[in-house]
Amino acid sequence: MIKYCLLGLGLLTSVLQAQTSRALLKDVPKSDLSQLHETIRAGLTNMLAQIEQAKQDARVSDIELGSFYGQLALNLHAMELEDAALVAYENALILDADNLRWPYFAGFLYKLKGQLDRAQECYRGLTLQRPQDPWPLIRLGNVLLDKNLNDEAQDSFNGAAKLEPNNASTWFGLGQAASNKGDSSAAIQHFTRALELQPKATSIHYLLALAYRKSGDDSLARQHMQARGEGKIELLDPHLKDLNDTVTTMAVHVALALAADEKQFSAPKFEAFIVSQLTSRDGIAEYLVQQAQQGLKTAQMNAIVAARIYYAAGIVYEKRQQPQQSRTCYQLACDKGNLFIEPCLRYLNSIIAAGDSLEAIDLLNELADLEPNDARIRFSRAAALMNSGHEDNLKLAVIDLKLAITLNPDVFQYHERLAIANELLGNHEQAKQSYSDAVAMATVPEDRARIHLNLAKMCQSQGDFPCALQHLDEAIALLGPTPDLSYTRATIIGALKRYDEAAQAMADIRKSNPDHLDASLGEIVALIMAQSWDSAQLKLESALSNWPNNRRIQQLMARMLASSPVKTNRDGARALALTPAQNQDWHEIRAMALAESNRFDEAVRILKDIEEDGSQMTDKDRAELAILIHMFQQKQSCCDEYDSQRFLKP
Amino acid sequence: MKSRALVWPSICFLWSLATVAQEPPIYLEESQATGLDFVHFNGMTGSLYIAETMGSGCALFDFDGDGDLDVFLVQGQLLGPDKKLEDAVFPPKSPVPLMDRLYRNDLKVLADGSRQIKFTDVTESSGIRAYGYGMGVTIGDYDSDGWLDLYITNYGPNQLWRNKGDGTFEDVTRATASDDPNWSVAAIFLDYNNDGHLDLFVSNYIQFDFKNHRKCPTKSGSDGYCGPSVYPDAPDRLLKNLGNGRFEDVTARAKINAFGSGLGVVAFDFNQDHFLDIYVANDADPNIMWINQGDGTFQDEALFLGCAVNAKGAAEASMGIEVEDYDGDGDLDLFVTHLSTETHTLYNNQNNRFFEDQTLQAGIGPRTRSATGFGTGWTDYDNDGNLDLFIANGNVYAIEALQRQKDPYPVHQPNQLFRNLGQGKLEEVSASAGPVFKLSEVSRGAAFGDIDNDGDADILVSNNSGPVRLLINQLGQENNWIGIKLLDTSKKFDQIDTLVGIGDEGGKRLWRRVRRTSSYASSQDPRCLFGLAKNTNKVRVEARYLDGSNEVWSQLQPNQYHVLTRGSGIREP
Repeated sequence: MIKYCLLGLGLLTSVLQAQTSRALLKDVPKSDLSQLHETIRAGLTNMLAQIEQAKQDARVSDIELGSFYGQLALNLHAMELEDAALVAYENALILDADNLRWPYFAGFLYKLKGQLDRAQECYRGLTLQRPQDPWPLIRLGNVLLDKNLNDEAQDSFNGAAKLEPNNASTWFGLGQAASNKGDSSAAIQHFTRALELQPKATSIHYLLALAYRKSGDDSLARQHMQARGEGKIELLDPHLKDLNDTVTTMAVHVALALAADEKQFSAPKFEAFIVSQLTSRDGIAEYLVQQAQQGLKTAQMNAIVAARIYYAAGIVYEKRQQPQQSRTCYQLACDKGNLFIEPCLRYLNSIIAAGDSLEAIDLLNELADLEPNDARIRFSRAAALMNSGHEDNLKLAVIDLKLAITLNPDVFQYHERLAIANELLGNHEQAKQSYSDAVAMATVPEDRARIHLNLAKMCQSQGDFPCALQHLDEAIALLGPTPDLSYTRATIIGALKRYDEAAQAMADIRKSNPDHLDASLGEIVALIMAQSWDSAQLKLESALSNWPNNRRIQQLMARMLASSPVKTNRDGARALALTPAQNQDWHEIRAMALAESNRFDEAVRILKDIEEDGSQMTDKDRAELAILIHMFQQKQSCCDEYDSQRFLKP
Repeated sequence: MKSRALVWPSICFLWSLATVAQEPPIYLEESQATGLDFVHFNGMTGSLYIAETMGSGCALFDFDGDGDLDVFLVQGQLLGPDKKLEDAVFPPKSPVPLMDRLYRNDLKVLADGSRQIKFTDVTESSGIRAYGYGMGVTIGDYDSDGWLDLYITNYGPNQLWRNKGDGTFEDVTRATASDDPNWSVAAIFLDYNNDGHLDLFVSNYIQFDFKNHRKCPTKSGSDGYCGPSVYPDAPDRLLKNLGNGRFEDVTARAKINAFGSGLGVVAFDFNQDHFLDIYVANDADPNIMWINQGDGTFQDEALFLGCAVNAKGAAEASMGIEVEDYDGDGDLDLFVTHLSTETHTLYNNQNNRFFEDQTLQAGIGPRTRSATGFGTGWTDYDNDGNLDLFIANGNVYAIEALQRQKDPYPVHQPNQLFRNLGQGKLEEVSASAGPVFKLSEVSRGAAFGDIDNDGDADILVSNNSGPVRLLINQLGQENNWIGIKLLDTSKKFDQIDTLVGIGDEGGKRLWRRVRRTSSYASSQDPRCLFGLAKNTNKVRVEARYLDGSNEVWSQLQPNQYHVLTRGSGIREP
């Protein structure tokens, strides 16, 4: 096999010089450039022509020509024309043998294409050429890992660790090699070190989990499985700067060219390009803003093109979660672009979200006049109108949303927002219909779940518990059973008077979430409603031991001890101990506790006080209170005939 | 001296050429010669719809019960609103009208023992009218009448075709409530609740339609295909067979609530609790292992079991799956195919406790990085007892070298064959496997089975926008073999999801799975073939059933198929 990379490392330099290096050059394959943007195509064609010219020119040194090939390779590489890039790198290697970049990038590309022997040669040569540089060792180690040569990979990474002990990539590689060799203990040690050095690389948790599992520690394995994230190990490789810069530069060229394309500019296509190619590099948004500013200043760019560049910068900032900068860019794009709708809407949506709806409405009115049939504008204006909270504005929002739906009936968000507007207006039937339309169109599980939850809430507020339960179940099927959703579900089951089922559902929540106070209370109330007095009391005892200072539990316990329909469960003295004398909220319970302690006179006095102060009481309450007073005056127990409803009524 | 020195290498060179030329191919491609004239039409018109790159699968099954494997091939249609057939980049070739096709195998065994395979297109007389944009097919006897039925997955509504047992089928999709309007790619019949009725799990891909269609820009700003991640995932579905001819959607009740871009699907009892678990290959999302809880619900444990993502923790673009015991250690391993630049992944089962990615250790990492794999299967092509590996390849993104040659569909790649060397190691043998491995096509489905009933496994490969390929094994006959067709007690059904093993305790044991669905959207021959190498001794066969019981048959003659019925062997403790 031809030693591609060794050729470039000077080991055969003398031979090559004798044979004239240029004779060994290969023709760069003529890539299909037809799919490339014309700016890029022209640039590459030009570079190829320059190289042809330079090859014939004796004044151009081999190193210079090698550099030309290298630059061409970088550009081809950036455009993913990898076959051609590799030949250009190989030519660069032949002519510019001492340059680190060409074997380094060639190795990178060979590895990507699965040509591991060649990649290995490239990096092996560099380790000899640059013995103090850890990166060729790390790259070589990674190639060796892919070849399953774990001992050699370990040697390589160990070499790198000596040169730079705090490089996470090295420890990550050592961890993989140890893991491949079945040495879980070493793998755990190395992955842990890598994670310490790069805590954001949360994907390492998964590898740690595998290592712990293999070592037999399932508990730690599960912990790391749960901590697993998407964060990848970041190879902070300084040698890739040129390649990354070239990729970015090419992408920026294309973006600028797309923005300047007067005939075929398409906002969605432009946005798709920006999102896919330009959002992952630092400094891009700033560079784009600078380009727009400079273009306008020097009049080399018209306002429309500048607006598109600002728009691109806004997208990059937004993706990088810098809302303030992104909003400013969208605003500039909107202003400069003569109401360029996409950035205008993004700008307006951001100020609506920030609560400044009135300012947004003015501009949205302008946009709606300009583009009366743009559903997106209607949708945004509806949002602004709904935010203002006035009923008239809600009605206007409904009109806008209906028009948006007529213009574009397939957007579930339009239906969902119409449902919300109608719900706010009290038009529950229309709201239900729109929610149903929205959920039928929504595709993302989270969206569908949210709409089902809204429907469930609306049904619940209307007292339509079967409907509430149905939609809640749909949401749970999509999101999984979170404690809160399960609790809501259990309360709805209770509202449907399926008390045993509700109590069981509450108990299930408590099983997996022992600290869920509401579920504990919910279970007790459901048991009371199911007339399961003994079970309810047992659960109350348990709740009281878990939350001894919780007033709601104390009240329920005191009430149970004072007035349980099961005589044997009553304990007047303990009930009295739980009821503070001075607190008005407790008076009725205290009266019952006193009666249960045979202190009927005191009980009657408290109840009469309540009766005298009973301006807020209904006639029914008053009648029930009178019966209670009468019973206590007759020294009779209050509660033998109690049912759940009466028991729970304070 | 000088002249001799020059002559010597030339002779050696010629000799080596002659040696290469004389080496018999492992497989011969015989689709045209046997009457399989099917050419897949993907309906592409230049609009770059993602659906046009994904179809389609194929099936080997004995629909007429005559003892040989028939072929079902899934067809595409024109894609896109307002498109006309003349807009198609590659016009349909044959046969027309465009619909899925059923070919009957009229296999003849001649007097000298040689085989004559002849396929006859019986679609017309079968009554099957499957005009959907086809993706895949799965086989099962959902109504337990002893005849194999077809469930066809489509980009669009799916179809269930009931085999009436007289050579004809009827569309029972609506009557059985088994439709799924999502974009389904693979599906599997399985009895998840052990009630004796075959339920149906449908693996759905993404929520793509012509309204949300997008083109994704390449680095140069030109239009390209989008990957699945730009579209929402489509939810998979579990349909419970009620036993009365109808299915009920129990997805939510079964707690099947985590989804990815689902492609391949298989079912097997990973944790040996006597309930089938389901493994779903997701494209660019972590794969899912639905562990059957035994109470009608499932829980995804793929991540903890180590088969959701590869050894580096990365979710890959998973396409096809095969489950077999490739290393002969008695547990079932998973092999999953992926996109080029990723490796395919071999999840080695560690005593049914968890899986370990041993792709690199098996030696297939670098060899599989350069191609995009779809259909796949373990098949012992040389009957040496070790399961070898076939991978059907075909990219989804344009390949630079092909683009440079102005290739109109620059995504084709050759298929690959790997020989199992034992001890968990594989080596690629594609170069010597025959001219069919020199073909560069856009392969998707792959089905494995003994089409000529001669004791070695053949391969059916379905290509996207290309002809079907039938790879007839030329090598297996050089070794001894034994074939097992395992039937249930009623003798009507294959005893699917059983592990069949040969060999004695303490000695080398080989295990195969009685299965139908695996690979990519394809259905397989459920018979178990064991290569015996040079061993001509009588064979002991053991069946390990899903319910944990086992059964043994002894003294079976090699080099023939045996039909074994559950209950006819000897139960061993």
